[in-house]
Amino acid sequence: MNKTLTINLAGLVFNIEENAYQLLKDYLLAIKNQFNNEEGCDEIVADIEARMAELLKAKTHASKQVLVDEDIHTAINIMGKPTDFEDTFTEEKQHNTTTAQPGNNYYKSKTRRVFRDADNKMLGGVCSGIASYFETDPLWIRLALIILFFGFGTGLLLYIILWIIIPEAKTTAEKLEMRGDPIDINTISQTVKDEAEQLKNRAQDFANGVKSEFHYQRNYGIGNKIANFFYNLFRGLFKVISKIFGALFVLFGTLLFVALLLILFNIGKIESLSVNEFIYSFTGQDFSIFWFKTGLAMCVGIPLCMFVYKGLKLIFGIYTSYLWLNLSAGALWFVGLSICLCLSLNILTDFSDETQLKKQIDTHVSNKDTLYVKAGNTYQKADMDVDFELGNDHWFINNTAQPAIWWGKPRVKIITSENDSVSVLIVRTASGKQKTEASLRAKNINYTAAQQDSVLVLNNYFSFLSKDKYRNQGVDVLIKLPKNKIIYLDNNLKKLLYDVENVNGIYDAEMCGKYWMMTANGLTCLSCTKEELRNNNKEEEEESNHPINVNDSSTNVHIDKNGIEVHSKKAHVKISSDGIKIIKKNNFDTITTAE
Amino acid sequence: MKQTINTENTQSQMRKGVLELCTLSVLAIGEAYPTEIIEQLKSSKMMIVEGTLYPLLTRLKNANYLTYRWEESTAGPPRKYYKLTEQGVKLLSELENTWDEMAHAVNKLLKENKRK
Repeated sequence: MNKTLTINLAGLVFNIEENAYQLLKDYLLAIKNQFNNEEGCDEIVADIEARMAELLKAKTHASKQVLVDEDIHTAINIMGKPTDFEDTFTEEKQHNTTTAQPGNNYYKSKTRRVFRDADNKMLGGVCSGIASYFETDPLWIRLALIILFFGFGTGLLLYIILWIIIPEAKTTAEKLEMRGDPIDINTISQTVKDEAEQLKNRAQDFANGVKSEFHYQRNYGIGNKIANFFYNLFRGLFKVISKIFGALFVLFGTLLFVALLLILFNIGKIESLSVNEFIYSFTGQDFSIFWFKTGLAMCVGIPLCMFVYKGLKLIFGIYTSYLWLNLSAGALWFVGLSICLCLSLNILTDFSDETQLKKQIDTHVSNKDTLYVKAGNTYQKADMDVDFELGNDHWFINNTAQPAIWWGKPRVKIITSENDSVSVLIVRTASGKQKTEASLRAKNINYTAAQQDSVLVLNNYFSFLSKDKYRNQGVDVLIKLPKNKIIYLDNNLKKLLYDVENVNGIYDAEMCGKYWMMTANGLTCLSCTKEELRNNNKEEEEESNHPINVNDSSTNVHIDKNGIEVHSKKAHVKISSDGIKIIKKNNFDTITTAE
Repeated sequence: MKQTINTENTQSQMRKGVLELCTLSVLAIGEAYPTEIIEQLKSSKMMIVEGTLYPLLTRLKNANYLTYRWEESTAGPPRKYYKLTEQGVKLLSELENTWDEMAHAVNKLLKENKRK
């Protein structure tokens, strides 16, 4: 049992079911909107209404007096959907067509959507579909993708993602939607205007006293209508914003993906070390390079792909999501993460224990002689070698040697000796899973220092075989000097000195080429020029620049770097490098005493 | 607004131009009401949906190429019987000439350049 209404269509009376009525009303309204800007709009609508009436009349007879959904559908199929009428329009009017009211079965929003255009396809119709979305020639889109393809295959990736997410335009309606109104400020304002128009129409309907029960149901409160208006406004804004975000997602996602590919294909350098070498320096195994990269590709690549995917969905307003795609992406990501974590943990545990091997060399330099310290040339950089920074240190890897050899700089310090003789302490450090492993590595570090008479030669590099892997290896050289011993630091030690403390506060590099004496306070420079000393002491000087002021009711004493000034009611005394100046205030006598 | 050439647009332009000619040609025989015109157009596979015809007739009428008179109908509301005006006849013959020339020229061109 369904409720029926009685309507007057082009002078004929029809009994019509509620649903069918809504359908017919929506259809006629859509037609009216379609021809809104046309001269003779009312006449066209009247003609069409008359024809509809004729068609519907044929559907009724004595045993079937009520029009149902199906009758309306049939009539509409004969007449055609408003979108089909566009054929008779000139192009400039296509953009003036309006969107339909919500709930219209026939004439849903003509907002443009992206589809794969199978009619003009080369492969999957992705490019031609996008081209029709952006109103450009598919050639440009194809060209862009091909160029991107040579950019490490990103084009291919994009194409596959797009192929998956963009549906094919199969029905005529979808094909029309593919070329529908673009979403821009015009269409948004149009939507808002239409909404306002419909609001007016409904209010008029109501005022005209069409007071069937049906209308009570259909008419929402005015509050609802305002809410609807804002809903549409914000939906439009949201669409524009989401498109901007989508574009950003795609842009950054693609850029980062290219960066990832560069790493995976061993292009580009980390601290002037190729990616493979970088990984190898930690793992020491070739196969783990492969696994590490696989892990990295999955762990970083998959989120980036999803990022691009979501961005594209935002741009094209696709809201369908594929569970299988999300799930498999998540699973692959998890696998990649696990691989990366396993490898990293394996390496990290190698750093868990540290050992220091100490070796003391006692020199027999008489205390009266000056100790000359210089660097020996055990290693000189070859063309094939790579150098890079790791931690705070500078390293070289000699790849021509088989197996490859690592070269690192020792750190030289000068401290006060506990006894009266000069000695050199060499500390080799390395890390490992356990103490034994660490000490084995430390033992494998090759470093020597030689002493001949009063000359101490410290090798400029220590070395170990690359199969030992980088495990925090390091060498500290401590030169222990007794008090009053004089030491000369050769210029070639510049890069080896490491935070050597001295009384004068001179930096490591500037300490070379000078004589130093160990005093009770520490190392003191003997051959530094005044300027060097001043430069390095400047900071301390500036700290003492704060003047001292002593005030009482009648006298004011001011002491600063320029000298001492005393102001009182009777006299003004100034003591500076210029001499002593006394000014008596009552008779303006001036007494100046030069130094 | 930016104008682009696409298949859909070109096709609709072609159809639009020809539809006017066909409608005028149907009316050249004598008076007819829309449904009759549509039936004849449909039998020549020119039309897709009826709705297309109504705005066209109104536009032609407003441009004084057609006139109409009302006639009561037993099957429904009164019908508009359209017929050509003098201007309409003139337009028809002009359009016919243009069509002949164009069809000839286009066919010839297409034939010559037909891909082997």
